Order: sequence, then structure tokens, then C-alpha cells
Amino acid sequence: MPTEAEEVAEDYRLALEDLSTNARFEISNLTVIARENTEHALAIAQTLEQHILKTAPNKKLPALYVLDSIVKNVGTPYTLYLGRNLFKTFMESYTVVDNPTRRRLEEMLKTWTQPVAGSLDTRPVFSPDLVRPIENALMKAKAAMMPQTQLPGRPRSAMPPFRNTPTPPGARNGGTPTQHHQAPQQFPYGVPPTGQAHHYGQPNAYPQQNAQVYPYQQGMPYGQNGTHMPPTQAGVDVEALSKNIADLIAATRLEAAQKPYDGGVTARLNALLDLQRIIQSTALPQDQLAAIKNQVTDLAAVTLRPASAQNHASAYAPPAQVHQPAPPVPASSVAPPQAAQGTLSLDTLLGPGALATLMARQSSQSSTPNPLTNPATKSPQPPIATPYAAPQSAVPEQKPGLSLLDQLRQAGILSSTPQANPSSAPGPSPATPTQMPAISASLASILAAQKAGGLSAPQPGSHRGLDTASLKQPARPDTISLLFERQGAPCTQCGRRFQTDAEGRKKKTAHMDWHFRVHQRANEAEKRGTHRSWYLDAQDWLKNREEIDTDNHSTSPSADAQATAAAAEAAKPKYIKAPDANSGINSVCPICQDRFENKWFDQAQDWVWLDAVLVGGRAYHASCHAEATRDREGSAPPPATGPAGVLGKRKAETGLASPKVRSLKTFG
Amino acid sequence: MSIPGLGQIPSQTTTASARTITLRPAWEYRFETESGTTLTIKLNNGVAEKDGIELAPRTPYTFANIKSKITTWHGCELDIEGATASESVAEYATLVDNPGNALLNLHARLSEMRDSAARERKHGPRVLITGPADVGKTTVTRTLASYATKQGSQPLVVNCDPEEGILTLPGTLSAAVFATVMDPEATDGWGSTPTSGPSSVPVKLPIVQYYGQRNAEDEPQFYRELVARLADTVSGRMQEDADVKASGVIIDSIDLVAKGDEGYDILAHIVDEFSVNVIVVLGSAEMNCTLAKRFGTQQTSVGEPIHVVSLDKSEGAGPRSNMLMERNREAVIKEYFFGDARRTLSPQIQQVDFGSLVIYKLQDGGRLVREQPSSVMQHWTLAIMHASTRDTPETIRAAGVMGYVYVSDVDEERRKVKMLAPVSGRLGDRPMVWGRWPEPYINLLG
Repeated sequence: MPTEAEEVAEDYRLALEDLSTNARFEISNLTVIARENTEHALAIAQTLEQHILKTAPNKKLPALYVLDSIVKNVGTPYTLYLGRNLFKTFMESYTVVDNPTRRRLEEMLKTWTQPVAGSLDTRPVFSPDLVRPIENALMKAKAAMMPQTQLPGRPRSAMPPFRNTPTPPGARNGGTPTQHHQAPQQFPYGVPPTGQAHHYGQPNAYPQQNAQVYPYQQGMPYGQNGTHMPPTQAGVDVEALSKNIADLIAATRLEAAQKPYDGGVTARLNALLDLQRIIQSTALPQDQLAAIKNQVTDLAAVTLRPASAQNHASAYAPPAQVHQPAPPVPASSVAPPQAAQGTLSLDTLLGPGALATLMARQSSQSSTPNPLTNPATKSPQPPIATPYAAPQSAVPEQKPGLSLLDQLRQAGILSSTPQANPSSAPGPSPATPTQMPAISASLASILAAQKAGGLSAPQPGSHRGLDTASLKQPARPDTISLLFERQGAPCTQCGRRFQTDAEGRKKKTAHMDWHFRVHQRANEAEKRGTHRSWYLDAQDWLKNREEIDTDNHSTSPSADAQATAAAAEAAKPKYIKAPDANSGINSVCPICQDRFENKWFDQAQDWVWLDAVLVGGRAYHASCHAEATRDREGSAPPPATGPAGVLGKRKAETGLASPKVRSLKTFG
Repeated sequence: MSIPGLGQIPSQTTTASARTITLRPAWEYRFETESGTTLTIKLNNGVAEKDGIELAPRTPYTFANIKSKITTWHGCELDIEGATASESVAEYATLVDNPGNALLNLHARLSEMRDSAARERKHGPRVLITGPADVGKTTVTRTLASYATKQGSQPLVVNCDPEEGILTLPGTLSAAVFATVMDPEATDGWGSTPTSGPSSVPVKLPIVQYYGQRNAEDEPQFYRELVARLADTVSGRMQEDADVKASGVIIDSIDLVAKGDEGYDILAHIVDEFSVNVIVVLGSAEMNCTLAKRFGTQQTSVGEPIHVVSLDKSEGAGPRSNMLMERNREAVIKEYFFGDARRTLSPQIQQVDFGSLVIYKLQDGGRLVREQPSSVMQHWTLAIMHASTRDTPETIRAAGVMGYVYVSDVDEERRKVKMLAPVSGRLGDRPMVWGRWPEPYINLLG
């Protein structure tokens, strides 16, 4: 029996599904419902997120408007819940919608960085920590859309040779389990069939990149993608699809057995096996499943016997909304061939939106030697009768970042038209889909390395001569970003920037602690009165090391020493701040009749009397006093005095914890 | 009507009302504060910097007695409150039009040199900034230093221009390692030195040599001696501190006069002492030529080539009125003893017998001559040296500065001197040096 929260969520889901326009009434209605059910905020927020993720692109904007309206008009706890996956929610929608909608999304994003209009609260709608990653991603996406003249391809000499031997299906099966877990990683490159690609994005791509670049968001439940969309819920049946693929595999195996030397058949078989793995191991969104299903259906129609093909075709008729593929973007024609290749084919196959999704990977690919076989250069391009074949075959270089499905298509296995009969593909297959996991894995590591290394490693080509003319060139964007964005977010109190990685967070914590201590001590200091210290002399200055966020760390005169733990206290040197001459405090130890010496104590940043304690307004040598009180009370000496106390020595002198002690002989 | 890159909204004295200005990327907001008032600038939106020191978002910064600018490379919105003597917005059409662009490039190159120095455990770049008077040398020095600290370097900033102090009073040469953020609000534009209390911006520790004159040419021999002394200490620090070694040195040097051979010789001395390998000539193509001719073929003591590069001066840089300079020097001295608006210090007033003081007067040729306190000394600031009263004058003048005292009043009849000292304690056991500059303008206790 569903709980109340589930019921509310289900109602909300139904209401959202009816939402197809930007009707203000409906949106505010949904906002009111959200407001009235804040006790189920989590369920509603999740429902909304899921809806935004899986709804058709043309319905995404209204749904995002609902999100916007809720966070602005209702606020917490929705801001909290929706903020968690904000990056994913926003970016995945952004990736698949058309350009006018994107502009609206950008406008909406802008309002999130500002306080709610008309509100007394000056905080932005979402915290900058949530919005900034999105802004950065959009910026990069835009940069990636530019013609990529700055990313020339590299020679591909380092690649392993293409294995042009047919792989027996059995061997293939045996080899797969180790790669199995990597299958989900492929899907960032997984390309839905072209007809619908214009609309469907790749929900996995952003979360994964996100996890690498913004580690603090690692807690994002990416898995929800699958768990919240059981296959039975919306149309495409994974079981049926798997069976369909299995049938195809069986048929292809048969074909492979008949033509053992036909590499095309073998490659197709391998591709199908990979596809099967993906389907079984990854919870794919419905739209991608539908796309795959269409392809499989089409393929089945030509591969399987006419009769069974008929069956399958009728059973799994593709949805009606198959569109014409997007034409190649004109920009790609001005780009150099190698760079254009990625742009061109990705654009053609995926629609322009996919570029944004892929941009980070793409740039890392094109600037990194590719360890993978480049099949197209080693084997004749099979004639493919699809409309997309033209741009691809026009450019001989084959980008490795192309997806499995893409390669399937290349191999002639997948096609939206039956003319692309796989058996018509002569010669060896240009693609070895089993290498795909390796591609994904290496790209992931490359991407990570690129991000990490970008800070310190100077880019090749940036090493320009130090002369007047070169200084007049426009500063490279990364010169500026190295000083700002790539240093992380600024501290709100002093503008110092901190990285968002683990070390950066640690530093920031230490830094904020430091600010806190300074504030605390500033209040104290105000009462006590402070004064300028003497400058260090050359000797001490040489030994001094700049301390970052650790200065003032150690405490401070015995007056506020109670605050620290007794153990730590025991290990510290005993000292008191050198009192003013007219403060009435004795300058001679009443016990040993020695004068106290003023010493500069770096740890305290002050002149102090070392080994001294103030007892009832009188100063004593700590060791003298400890000894005296021990004699009187007959108790063990305090540990602080240590051997000095035991040996009856008075002064711990300069051998104490701080090496930076300097004596100023006759002062005071 | 404004021409891109040249366009400036005409200067105007503004009212004290709050206003908001929006700067596009590479634009600058230039201002000179009005005497006796402060100007508060708050970064509302975007990213902005003052001389390379980034402003924290939504934090009010208060400025007084300065002529400066706020630059943005990203675009920003500033809330400004307070009157200014003049203010303008420089609208640069493109990044390249802003002279700061060349500074960014220079920084990028220096940064590469620091990286490779760190890898090879060698010395980072030693950069010297020079040029005619009032072209923004100190601003460039500060910007380069700030950029370096932002990227985690710890450059050693050396001030060889006695006319303006860095972290200390004018009339000195000083050096300090900058490892953390600098203080945009600091009276001297750099930061502040340790006090007995905490500081909201990390303090910097300078090492100071007392020169007591305005220009390097005034006592060239003495000046060279101090430069050599400072260079010794600096190279000692670099030997011992790997971070500093790789980060290198940035030197704010003297004004060059178009035809003064003396200045060039002194500059050559600085270049030599600090093994400078990058000379930045600001705002003068002619001097760039002269220096390139002189140093372009030379090598540093470790055999590196010396680069001489020329940078354009910012249109914002220009002669500062004597009054502004005076007010700023005054503010720096006040800040030393009394602190600033954010941190009040309590100096000690002491009555000292003539006999307990050891005071040397700086004479021609940099000689120190023992001097009795006299009423002429009133309102002067004397330097207390890290030396003993028994040391020879030569040792004393070469010693580092420990701090300063201000002579408030000299009672010749009662043979008493009223002095203001930062720290309590006897004043008589350290020699004091009475220089010739900066002259007293104010009565600190009046």
C-alpha cells in the first residue's frame, strides 16, 4: 500500500505530465501544491527532478519553470532538495533542448545567482556553489561550439595495430566479463539512433563528468536514473529488447559460422554482444532504449529471416516521432578536418546539443595522443548507404570518441534504413567495438589528468619569449583563469581563493579557522591594548618562514591558557607577556632574585618572560614556583617543569619548545 | 563621446552619495581620494582587483590618501560611497588595450620561470621594475607580487626606492616575503607588520635598512652600501628558504632621470647585487633602449641572460601632487604608531633623560655623528637600530632597523625628551639614527 508521500508524489507526477506549455496558471498551481505539501517536499522534489530528466525536450522548459517557481516562491526545503542534483537536472535538459529554449534556461540560471526579486532575503536563490559549476559548464560548452582550430589532432603513431583477425564468438564471450563493469562508462558516448538524436541527450554524461570535476557533489545519487524508471513504466520493455538482441546475435553467429573470414560479420557480432551487455548492465533512460529498440528492430528486419523479421517489426514498431537527422552544423566545414571530424559526426549524429555534453572529453581527446586503433585509416571504408555516411567518408580520419552505436552504424549493423544491409559491407570491419570500454576508461583518466594537471603544467606553445612584443599579445584566457577561476572560489572575507578538491577544502577550513581565531583574539586584544612590534633583525628574519593560516595558531599568554587542553599546555613553554614597566609587576623573581629577561617569542608574536608565571599579581619563574609549591604541598611537581623542576634548575631558558627566541639583554 | 581605449568619462568631483558603477571586462575605475575623507568600495558582483589584489565579494573596502584604480578582467559591479577628488572609468575596448594585459603576460612568463626553477631547484626570476618618475612602478611591482602569491608563490619583494616605504616608513630600503594575500586597504598599499594583537590580513615581516634620504642619488655611496647589505640578507634567505628561492625577487627600484648617468650606474649596481635577470622598463621607450643596450648583452652572475622588456604605463598613472604624497607619508607614520581604522594601537609616551639616549645624526657622505637631543629634533621620527650603543657608527648605520620613535617634545632646560615609542621599555640601550628625510609635517600628538 502506497504511503501518503508516494501518493502525493504520484499525483504530482501525473500533474507534471499534463504540463506541456508555459502556462502561468498551471505552473503556479503546481507551485501551490508544492507549498501545501512541504512535508512531502523530498518526494515532490524527486518527482520533479525525475520528470525533468525523462520528459520530452519540448516539455522540459515548463517543468524547469516549475522548479524555478518552487525554489523562488516556496524556498526551503525545496531549494535544498532540488539543489542537490541541480547540475544534472539543468545540464541534461540544457543539452537536449533547442537554442531558443537554451536562452531561456540561461536567463533562468542568471536569476538563480541573485536574490529573489522582492524578497528581503539577500541570499541568492541557489548558493553560488551550485550555480557556478553550471555556469562554467555552459561557458565551456560555448567554447567547444567554436571552431576548434586550437585543438589540432595529433599524429597517431603510438596506436596499437588494428587486429584484423576475426574473433571467435566464444573467445569474445570469455573476454568480456572483466570489461563488464566498464560498460556504463561507455554510455556517455552512446549515441541514440540518429532520427531521434536531436532530441535525446545522454543522461549519464554529465553526472559522470560532474563527479570528476566537482568532487564535493559526489554524493549525487546517479543511480536514481535507473531505479526511478522501471522499464515497465513507460513503453520500452528491456526484456523484450534483450530478447530481440539475443535473436539477432544468434542469427549473426550463424552467419559468422558460415562466413568465418568475413570480418564485417564478426565485428557486427561483437558489437551486438556489447550492446547486449550495455542493455543488461545499465539502466538506460527510456528514450535511449526506444532509440536502440528502433535500430534493433530495423536491423532484425534485414538480418533475420523475412518471416521472423516481420514478426519483430510488427511487435516493436518504432515510435512515430522519428525525425530527419539534423544537418551538419556549418561551423564544422571551416574547421580543419581532424578537429572537424569530431564536431561533424557528433553533430550530425547527435544533434548540436550533444556537443555540450561531450565538450570536455572532446577537448581532452584531441589534445591527447590516442592509444586506440584508428580503423578507418587502416581499412577501406565500407560503403554505407545512409545519409550520414557522406560527411563521414568525406573525412578519412575516424574519431575514437564515437560511440558504440556509432561504430555499429559504421560497420553497417545499425541503420535507420534497410538498404544498409550489413552483408553488403565488404572487407574487414573498421570498428572493433570491444575496445570501447578501454576507450572510455582511458578517456576518463585522461580527463581527470587533464583537469588536475592543467593548473601546474604549462601548455606547450605557451612558452613564449620574454620580450616586449610578446608581452603585448592578448593575454591567454588561461593566464587569467589561472589567477582566478582555477584557483577556486574566493574566501568571502579576504578574497583568497581555494581549490574545491580535498586539499583545497582542508586549506579553506584551516583558513576559516584562522579568520575565526583572529576575530576572537581581536576582541581580546581590544581590551588589552595592542602595540606595534619591533622588526626582526636580519638573523631572525633569515630563519623566519612565512606561515600561512597557522600564525597565531599557538596560544598565547597564560591568561587564556585554560582554554587549551592541559596536556598540550604541559608541553608548551611557560611564559607571560612582558608586562609594562609601570604595571607594578615585579621584574625580579621573588624566589631566586633573578631578573626576568625580555625575550621576543615568535610563537606569541610578542615580548615575553619565558619560564614565568603570574601568581596573585606577582611574577615567578615557573620552575621556581613549581618547586616552591611542591615543597610546601608535598605533592609531585607539575609535569610542565619536567627535568628542570626535578633537577632544581630554575630556568628552562631557550631550550624550550620554540627555537625562535632571541634575548634582548637589558630591556625592561 | 568616448573613443575605445581612450575614452574616459570626464573627471568630476563627486558628491558623497552612494553610487553603483558597472565595469565591463578590462575596464578600470580610477580614483583619487579626497583629502580628509574616505572612499568605500564594495564589490557587488563579478571579479575585481586593486593592483592585482583581489577584492573579496561584498566586503566594503575603505581607502584614504591614495590615487589608485580598480581593474576587472571579468566585469564587475561596484558600490562606491564617499567623495573623491577625481574619478573616472577607463573603457578599454579590448583586453589588449589595457596595459594590464602586458602585465598578465609578464606574470605568466614569470610564473613559468618559477615553475621550472622549482623543478630544477634553481633561483626563480629576479625582476627589477624601473622607469621615469610617476609611471606606476610601485603599482606594477605590487601587481606582480600579488599575482605571484595568488598562484602560491612566495616572492621576496624588495623596495629600493627610499621615497616610498614598503611595509615601513619612507626613507628606507626594505624587503619582505609575501606568502599570503596582500591587504588592499593597507596605508602603504602592501600590508602591515606584526603587532602584539591579531591582524585580519596576515602580517608581513620586513627587513629594513635605514637610509634617511629621499633619493638614491643623494648619498650614492651610502645607498650602494645599503643595497649590498640588503642583497646579502635577501640571498641568505633564498638559500635557506626553498619556497622563496623558487619564487624569486621582485624589486621596486628608483626613478630614472632621462639624462642622469648616476641613476643608471646605481641601477646597474642593484642589478648586479640582486643578480637581476628581468628588467622591466615602464613607460619610456628611450630608457628601454638605453637599458637594453647596457644590459642586453650582459649576463647575471650565474650566467643567465638579462631580459630587458618595456611596458606601457597606464594612463591612470601620473604625477601625484606633493600634497597627496605628503599626506600618504604622514598616514604611513601615523599607522606605524597608532594603527589604522581596523586596528588601534597604543604606543607609549615616555620621558627620557638626555643622558640615557644615544642619537646619531646622519651627515654628508652617510656618516653618523653623535648628537645631543635638541629642539630641532622635535616632530622627527628616529630609527632605532638593531645594534648596541657601543658599536661603531659604521656598524650602526649598516644595521637593520628595529623600529621608530617619534620625538614629540624636547625640553632643553630640564634635559628631558618626550618620545613616542611603539613598545614600552627603556629606549636608551639602542642607538637611534636621525635622518634627513622624511621631514616632519605633523605633530603626531597634537
